[in-house]
Amino acid sequence: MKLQLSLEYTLGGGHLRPFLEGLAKGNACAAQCTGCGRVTFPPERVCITRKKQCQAQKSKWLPLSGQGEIVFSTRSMAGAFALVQFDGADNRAVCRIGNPELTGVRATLVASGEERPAMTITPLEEPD
Amino acid sequence: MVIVAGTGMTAFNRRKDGSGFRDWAISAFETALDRSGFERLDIDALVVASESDFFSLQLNPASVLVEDLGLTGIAHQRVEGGGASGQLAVHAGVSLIRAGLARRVAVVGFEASASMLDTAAVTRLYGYSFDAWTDGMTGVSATALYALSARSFMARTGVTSDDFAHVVVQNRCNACGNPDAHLPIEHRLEDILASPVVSDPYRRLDCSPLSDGASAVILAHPDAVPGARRKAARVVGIGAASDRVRLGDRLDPGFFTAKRRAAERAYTMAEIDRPAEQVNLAELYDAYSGAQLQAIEALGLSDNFLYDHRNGVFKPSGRLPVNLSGGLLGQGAPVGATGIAQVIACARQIEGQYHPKLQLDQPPRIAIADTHGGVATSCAVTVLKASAP
Ligand SMILES: [Zn+2]
Repeated sequence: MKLQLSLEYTLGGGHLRPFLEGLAKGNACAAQCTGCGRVTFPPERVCITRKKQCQAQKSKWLPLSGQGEIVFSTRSMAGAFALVQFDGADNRAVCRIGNPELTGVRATLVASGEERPAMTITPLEEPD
Repeated sequence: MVIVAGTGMTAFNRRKDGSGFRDWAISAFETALDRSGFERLDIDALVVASESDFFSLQLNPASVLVEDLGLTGIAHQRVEGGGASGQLAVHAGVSLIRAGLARRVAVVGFEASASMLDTAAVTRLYGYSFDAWTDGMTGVSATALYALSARSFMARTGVTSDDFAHVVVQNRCNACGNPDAHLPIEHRLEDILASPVVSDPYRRLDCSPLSDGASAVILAHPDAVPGARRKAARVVGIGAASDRVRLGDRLDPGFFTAKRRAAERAYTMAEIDRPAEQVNLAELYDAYSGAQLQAIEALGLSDNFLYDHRNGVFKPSGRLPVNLSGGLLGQGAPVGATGIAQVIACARQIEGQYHPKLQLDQPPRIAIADTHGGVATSCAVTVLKASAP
């Protein structure tokens, strides 16, 4: 028996909307906990420090420069990916490396479009 | 404490015979029921483990299996926790018995990971088994996430790709004694290191296969077991825990924190305080070669895991044999069936009834089964013990 399914999902961005809209345009929109000041990109829904003053859903949006440092990377059949420490963020982000032919430890977020907003970076060439 | 009264599994491989997961589940269940000495009417609950309806196309699979297994009328549920589904189903069965809600529980796991969808489709679906809204949108694969975790692990511990390759060689060599194994292969070290890169540092041979298959155990309260099976292996500890779902949110993406917590909980229940000395056999979740070493570290099975790995401690002749079944790398990985198959390997080893070529001369007294979903995000550990002589 052969059966084909074609599925088209409509995904609600919900709480993440400002973050996703930022990714589409290449802007880094981080979340900052109003309790302890922890900055997360991608955003944490609940501040993980679990300090008394850090309550669920009490965060504000904070623009970052979108530049950061590649901590670890891997080249795979599905493209290149990296764990990136963005400047000003207290966590790290799994990102697609948009131009894997470029080398460099520093990288910057690039626009990924509204169709599929995804954390995508391009390495910045090292100055000589 | 709960008795593993009966065990059964199909071979793990890629089916080409036109059979389906319902056939495999029946086969595994019938073997387990037969070995338990129970009748169908004795079973009062069914727990089904299966990771994804995308693979089988059957939503609510427990509802069709309860009928196929001839158990209509009893309580049934499906347990899912990604790669940990099978082990969590065992935990659910143990919990039902310990809570007094059931006395004899059939736990049946299956997955049709290999034959029903093409590999590319399965790989794509797995990309959404992490945080789909953030990591998933980048198109990152499971292998790439494991690779990033491995990079961090290697940087911290000095583990090398050679160490990973030795895991593959050993597990697939162990699988050669297991007639149910998907990949019984005598690799040479250079074969691993020369296989194509999937996501560096992982090469094709470092990755466990997608398999079809099913496995089943019958769990029972000690008072509900016929005399002959009262000496069977017992589950004396279960523990589960969770980690941050995104690697980037973890302080050390190379350390399996949730696995450590799950193990501590299981060890506490089993009254184990020196696992490196007390555990005699371990079936670990080697979805990728490096994950086996990450597991040994997190589970506290060695004071110096790298030294012990390089000195044969985890080989069949070593102090603590690991993945004698072949593990996921060798035995294979039909996800929902995997954790249950690990419990089967441990229980049969304890009873001296494992595959003759792999049975330890001195049956283990304490064995652990370790499974996880995500990159060790959903972790489940089970401790099995021989009954008192
Ligand atoms: Zn906070």
